[in-house]
Amino acid sequence: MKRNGRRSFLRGAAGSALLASPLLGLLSRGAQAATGGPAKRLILFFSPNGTVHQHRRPSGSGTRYSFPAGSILEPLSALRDQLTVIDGLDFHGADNHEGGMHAMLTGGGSVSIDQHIATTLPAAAATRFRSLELGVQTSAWGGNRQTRMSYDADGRMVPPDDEPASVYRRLFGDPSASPAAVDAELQQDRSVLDHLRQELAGLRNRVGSEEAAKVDAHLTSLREVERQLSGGTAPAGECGAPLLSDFDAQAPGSFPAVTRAMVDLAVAAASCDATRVISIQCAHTVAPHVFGWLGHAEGHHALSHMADGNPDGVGRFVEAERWFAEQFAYLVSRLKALPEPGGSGTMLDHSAVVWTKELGDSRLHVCTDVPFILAGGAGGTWTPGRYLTYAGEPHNKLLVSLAQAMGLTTRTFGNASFGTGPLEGVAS
Amino acid sequence: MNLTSTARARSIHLLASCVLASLAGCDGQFGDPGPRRPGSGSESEVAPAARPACDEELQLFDQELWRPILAVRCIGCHSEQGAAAGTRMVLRPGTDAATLEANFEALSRVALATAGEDIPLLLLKPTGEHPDGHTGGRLVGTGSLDFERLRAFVDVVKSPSCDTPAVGASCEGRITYGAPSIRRLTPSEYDRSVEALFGSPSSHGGTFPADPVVDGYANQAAALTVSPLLASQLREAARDIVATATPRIDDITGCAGHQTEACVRTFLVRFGREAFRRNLLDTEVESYVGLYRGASTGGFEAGVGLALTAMLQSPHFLYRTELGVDQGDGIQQLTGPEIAASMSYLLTGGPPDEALRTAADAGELDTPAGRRTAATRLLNSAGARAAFSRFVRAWLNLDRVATVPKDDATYPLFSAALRQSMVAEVDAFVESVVFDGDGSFGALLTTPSLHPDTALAAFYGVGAPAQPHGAVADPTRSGLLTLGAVLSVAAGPEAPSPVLRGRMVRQALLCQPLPDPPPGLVAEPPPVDPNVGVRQRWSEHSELEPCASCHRLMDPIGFAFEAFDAVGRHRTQEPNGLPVDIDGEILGTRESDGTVHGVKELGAHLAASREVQDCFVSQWFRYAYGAVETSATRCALLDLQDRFVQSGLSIRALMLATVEDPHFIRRAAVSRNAPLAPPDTPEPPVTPDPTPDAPAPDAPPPPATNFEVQNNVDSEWPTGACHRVVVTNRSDTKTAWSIVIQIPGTMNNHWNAEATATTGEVTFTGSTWNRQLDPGASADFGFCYQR
Repeated sequence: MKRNGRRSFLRGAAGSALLASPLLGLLSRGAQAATGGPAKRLILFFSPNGTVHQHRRPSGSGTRYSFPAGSILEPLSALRDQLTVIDGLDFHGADNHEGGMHAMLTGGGSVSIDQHIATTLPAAAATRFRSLELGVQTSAWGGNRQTRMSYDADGRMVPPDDEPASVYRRLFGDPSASPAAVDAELQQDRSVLDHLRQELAGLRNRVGSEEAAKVDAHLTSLREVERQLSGGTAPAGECGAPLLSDFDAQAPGSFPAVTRAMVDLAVAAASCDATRVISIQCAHTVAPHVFGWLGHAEGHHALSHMADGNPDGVGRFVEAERWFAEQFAYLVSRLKALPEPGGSGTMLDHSAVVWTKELGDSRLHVCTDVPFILAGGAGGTWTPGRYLTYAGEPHNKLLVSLAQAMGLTTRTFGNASFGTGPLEGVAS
Repeated sequence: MNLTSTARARSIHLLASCVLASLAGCDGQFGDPGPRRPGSGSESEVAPAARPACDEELQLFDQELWRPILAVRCIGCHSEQGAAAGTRMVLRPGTDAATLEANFEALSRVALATAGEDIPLLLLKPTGEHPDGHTGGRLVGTGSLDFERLRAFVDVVKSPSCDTPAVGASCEGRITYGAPSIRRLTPSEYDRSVEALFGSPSSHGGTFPADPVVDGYANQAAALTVSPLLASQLREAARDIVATATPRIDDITGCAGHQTEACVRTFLVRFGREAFRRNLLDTEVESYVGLYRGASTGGFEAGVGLALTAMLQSPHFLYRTELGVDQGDGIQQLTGPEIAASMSYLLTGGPPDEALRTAADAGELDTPAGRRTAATRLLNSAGARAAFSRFVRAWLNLDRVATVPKDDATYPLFSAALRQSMVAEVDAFVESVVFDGDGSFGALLTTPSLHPDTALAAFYGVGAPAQPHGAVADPTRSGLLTLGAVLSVAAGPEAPSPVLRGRMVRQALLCQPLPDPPPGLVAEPPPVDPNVGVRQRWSEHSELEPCASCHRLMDPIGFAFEAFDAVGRHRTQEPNGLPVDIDGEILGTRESDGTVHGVKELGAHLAASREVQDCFVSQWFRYAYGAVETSATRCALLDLQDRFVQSGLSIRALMLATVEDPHFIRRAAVSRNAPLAPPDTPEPPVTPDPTPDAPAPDAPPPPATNFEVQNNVDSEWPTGACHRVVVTNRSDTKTAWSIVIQIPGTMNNHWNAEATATTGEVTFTGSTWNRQLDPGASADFGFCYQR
């Protein structure tokens, strides 16, 4: 697999610690300081293939809860006070891998919650990227309902970027370019974009309405490119590009390195306020990835099907899930360690972070009792440090809660017949 | 079954725990989980009684529903022993009159029962659109040929008499064409196009986001769009390509020594013709010269560079059109340049060369003989070999060999380099059979050879080839089925899988997609037991219900592959020392059932089956047209299947027949999307006459009218509907028609008419060919909308 010259680019990039890219100035802006307001950003973190509840559930309830030794969530113990652990939500009207993967963020509608927020939230429209989709080895099977979780308003898949080098370049541009060169380039890009829009309008007049929808999608994409190149409002504060090392992002053994790189890039994008909506998708449902770094021989999906009569097999699945818990802990810890740019408290205080899965019990292929973990204060909207349990409430309500945490007035999301309003108990 | 019950809302949990508590592995009772959740779609509890079938209907049922759909996709679960035995549709095997009648009645029940907004279960369940989903997954796409077959069946059983026409009918005298489309270049087509333009290798396409895979192929026109991420990467790629080409700019432009605007204009006319695969319009030339002029203050290179950067992101470069020109009879014929591009990308994977463009301009590609001559030449080019191999790799998912997970400890030699060797082996094998060998479908599935390089030959344990990827005879092998790439992709990380191999044959060679395991079952694969052979290990799967109803379709085929390990090496023993057992069986097919001893017999058996031959043509057809067959293109597919058999199963003949077919160069006319002037006649708008079946459009009070309007719901689902409208001129003068229909949502498609808007009160007028209606004449148009 070729890397299109990006390897050498990355080697260069890795040499300098904080890159003074001219685009960096475009990446940051002022932040509201207060708490009690909406969350400044939404960060979704996905890991696949359901769970085994008896090895995941916290003990206790409400504010008095903990993660048992050896359980899947134990690696999150140090962050207990930053989490809202949610059990007992069902995906109504969905079952199985594919159904669960599609329903997870759509709630049975056509658009996913991240794209809904990205396209309706005024603050998201003021950043360079309406949303940023980061993927860790999601695409070996192409794009389908097993490998994609984000959908636009027309139900089209929104593909994640699986290449850390590409994400880096889109976020931080060419670190060697001078500001004058960046300006000149922007002017040229604008003339090209205007030209392309005219051509697309001409093509649109020659096609039927079904094909015109493709042209319209293309036009929308050009607007996004223009926004990304143009930057947003005036910069405030400093933000930095992470170090990336050189690796083949699609090699099986690179999975941990890509996951780490994507978390670092997500945190950098957030701290630079390049976007308000980020998703990190680790693999995909039915992921066959072998966690060789844990000494495993079977694929993750095969491990997820180990029955209770096979404690060794279940034990290896628990190991794999603990590994994902460690990655989520790393994301939350990074946000907790950074002060909110231009604001008070930490970035985590102002973030709504969600660890989401597509299935409940992995052995049964069901979308009942699908586990969620929220992290952060959502700008004061959430009071973390609690374990909340429900009895089959539709997860649509949680999706509404996420939209509301971001400051939208959304009352229903997805298939409204499953349930309306936010999930009781999440917002304080 | 009462699906509105709330008392048993969480019964799936109970069911699940029963399975967990009492049963190991794949065992237990299973039915449609049915009642379980509040708020999901309500369902009519008692379906209207079905009337008995007429003879013609039974025949139609056999041909259009039983053989292509029910017998291969439904009965696996919907049988008395199957996982769906508890549902209202239980089918019986067989095609005698009594069985057909019983199955007709079973299907009638789900055609007449409804859920949600009064939509037949028969349309909701297999499409996965039912509010409670379909346990067997999505087996039929809305809008596909099979969907239309099911829809036609609903019409049949709803009709009180026997005269309802249906999709099925004979192809004789019925010529219909597919829809016009714009097809975005695939990543590979993008690279081949860039290479043709600049004369140097391009690999940018490999960095683009993976495209949606529809019905097995990532080249399906409807799904190929430009996402924001792709738009960004296309910009990056264009800039990289131009930056790389800049040192050669004098060679490329031919403007050395006279870097003038006039020279650039000449260059852009020539280069644009290659990039857009047609001559540029004068306005287009001026627009690109304008880009040059604007940037040339920074120098000649900067000016040319900007024009080229724009050209590489142009929709005229990125999309190849199959739109055609209206022939005045509701048919659009592709232009010469469009035909040239369609032929070239299909047969060579890249853009037309100068000879093909010249032939197109001379009108030679408008005739079947002209296309045959041109295609014969194209098939002799180097690109043709790689292009056909690309189809084979897509068909069998072989590109996955680069990433398919394998356990390093079990297979330490299965390196990244070896994976690449396996991909190259596929290309070499396909070339040798299709282009240098006897070229038959049978040879593809049965030739007893491998095409390894030295390292791969050592890995397989066979003799080294005379040159890298040359043929090495191996009597244990059976063509494509036994290449390392195929055997490795359809296998687990540490052991081969009869399930995955059987599933691969089922889906790729028999065209029978299978559902994922249903929810509510513990689906742990049986554990490896050193004292138990593979067949015994999987016996629960293929012998005990509820697993057996589906797994008997896969596992017994997979057993025939047992002489090969999970990375494609031949073996005589399993790792536990037991001899391999290679007896296999094909069950539940239209006409391919039988027992086989090993993969060689399997390959020969499959290659000789008309069902498999037809499936292969279907796969090729979907890839070639970038779209699954519809009722409009069904006859073209059937014809191609016949011609393939008549040719003696020659793959080269199949490729030639594909481009010779009139369907290749014609499309059905659809309305343009242009902003429309008001209707060109002063006729007062008339309103639709909603039938009882069409509750959605609200009609304002009808004004006096000379038009009769029948507005019928063609199909409907929870989030939208399609209508078919017939407008009849009831006056005694020839008149242009124009009517208003209230659209209760957003219209996303319409045909055979022009529309003024996509929502609210929409005025429809005729297209050029059906606008003027003689007295008593009718125009037929349609639209779809989303709520």
